[in-house]
Amino acid sequence: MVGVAEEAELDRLEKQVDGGRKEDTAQYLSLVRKLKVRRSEKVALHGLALLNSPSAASKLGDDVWTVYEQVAIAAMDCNCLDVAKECITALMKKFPDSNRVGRLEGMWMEAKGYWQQAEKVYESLLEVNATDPFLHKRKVAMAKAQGNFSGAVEALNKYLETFMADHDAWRELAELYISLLMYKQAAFCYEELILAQPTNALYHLGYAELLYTIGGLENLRAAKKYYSATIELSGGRNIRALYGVVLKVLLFNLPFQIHVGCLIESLKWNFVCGNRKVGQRTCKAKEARSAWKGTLLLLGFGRVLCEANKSSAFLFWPDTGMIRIASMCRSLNVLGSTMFFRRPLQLLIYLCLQHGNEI
Amino acid sequence: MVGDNKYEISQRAYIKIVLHALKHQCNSVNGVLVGKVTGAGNEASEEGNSKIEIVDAVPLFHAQLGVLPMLELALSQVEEHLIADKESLVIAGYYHANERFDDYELSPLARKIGDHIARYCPQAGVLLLDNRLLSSLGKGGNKKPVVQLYTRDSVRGWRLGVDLSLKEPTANSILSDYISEKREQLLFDFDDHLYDISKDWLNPDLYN
Repeated sequence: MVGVAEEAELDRLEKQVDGGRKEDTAQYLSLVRKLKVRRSEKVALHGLALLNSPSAASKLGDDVWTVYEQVAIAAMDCNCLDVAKECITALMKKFPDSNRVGRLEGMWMEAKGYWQQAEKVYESLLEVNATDPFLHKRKVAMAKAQGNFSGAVEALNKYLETFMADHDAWRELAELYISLLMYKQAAFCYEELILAQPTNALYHLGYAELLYTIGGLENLRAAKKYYSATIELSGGRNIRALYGVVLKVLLFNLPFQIHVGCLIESLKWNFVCGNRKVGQRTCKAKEARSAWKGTLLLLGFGRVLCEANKSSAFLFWPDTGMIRIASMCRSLNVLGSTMFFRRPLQLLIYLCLQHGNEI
Repeated sequence: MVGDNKYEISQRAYIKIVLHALKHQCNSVNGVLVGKVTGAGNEASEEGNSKIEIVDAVPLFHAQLGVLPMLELALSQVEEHLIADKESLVIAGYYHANERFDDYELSPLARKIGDHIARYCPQAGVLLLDNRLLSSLGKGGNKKPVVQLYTRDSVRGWRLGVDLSLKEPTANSILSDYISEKREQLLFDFDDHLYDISKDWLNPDLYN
């Protein structure tokens, strides 16, 4: 996850190097290593030019070996296996018994497709360094490269039992689960990530997207919360999260006309019930239920307005709103409703006065 | 009577698909196909002699292909754009390119998305990028498209279908030219648009 400023600096250096400024190559390569981005073609091209130029290579000092490793990996990524082999040979001469160089050899065999030999190399290295996380991860990568996703998942789960603080591994596991369409398990991985780094907006975003994908009312509500968290953590700059909230709101919140319609219908029904002579006792019970339903709808309507657009809420609740409700009460008296009906509306007015300031 | 639907892809769509895959070589990519369905018989049926012309392609994602919200968003935006455009084009298919070089199967995700699109357009086809054919493109003289077509059978699901014809025979040579001048860097997909909203997923300047 690279920041915008860092990416801009990287692009600038890349342009300089492409344009012929060889002196910036070392800085470019070092920034690529730091940000861990995958720009293999450029790295292989310019890195190799740097290594082949004795003056530039000597200026690097001891860093030259890191550049050898970087160019070897980039060359393998671009399928330039001869170049990679040359770099690895140079490194082996300098560091004959190194674990790190042994790993590069294993990677070269993977690139060639010699899976069993690569497996042997990693096993022998693991005998010496059983706790090297990179070797375990290479085994997962091999399984994935051969298309054995379930094997990769198993190996990665085993790795995470020991190295449970490795966030990149949790993310990779989530991706593997997503590609296997196992969304609930992927969501679990993101839960671990959020627990470990609660201020990272991208983990909240990933979790929200998974909840949305899994679906169901509760999950969609939770997804909206996580999208909102992403918006807050990213300062409103994350477009996916903004769109996520829009999608969820469109899916669930009925348009306001429908809300108003329901509201008016319920109030109308309340008034009508009150005036109908159906049988005193049963009518009162029915009226009671409908009256409370109307009240709840009114309160619900206000809340929806508040959620969506704070300014429009003021149309309903503060001074002008009070006047409107008071006039409704008066009209109720005019319609001749029973005492029973005045209570819900009185309750409503009381609530408005109490909570108007909060809104 | 089962007739064969004929699928024809324009250069515009074909080149976009391949350039999208080449821009993101380390990921799987996907997108939708936009086109017209014309049929002699009943257009709503799967069988029958319909002709499906794929006019354009919209590149969608290169990361996190399996999650739903952005896919829904992209599909609705594409549909709205098509309605506003008034050229009576519809979403007529889906394309997918696998992450690994030697993976020639249509993944369950691609099948799922294809099923969804087929609900709206029963003759929809799914195109899968064929890496072997793509790597032999550089050797020249290849007139076949580098994508495989899958069509939907209500009984057996998605199967490798009939031949796809290229509308313009020069498509492969133009594609090779574009690849050598690295034109894929000018292509933006929906993911790029979500990262930086000024990037247009319609790619109006790609062929200039």
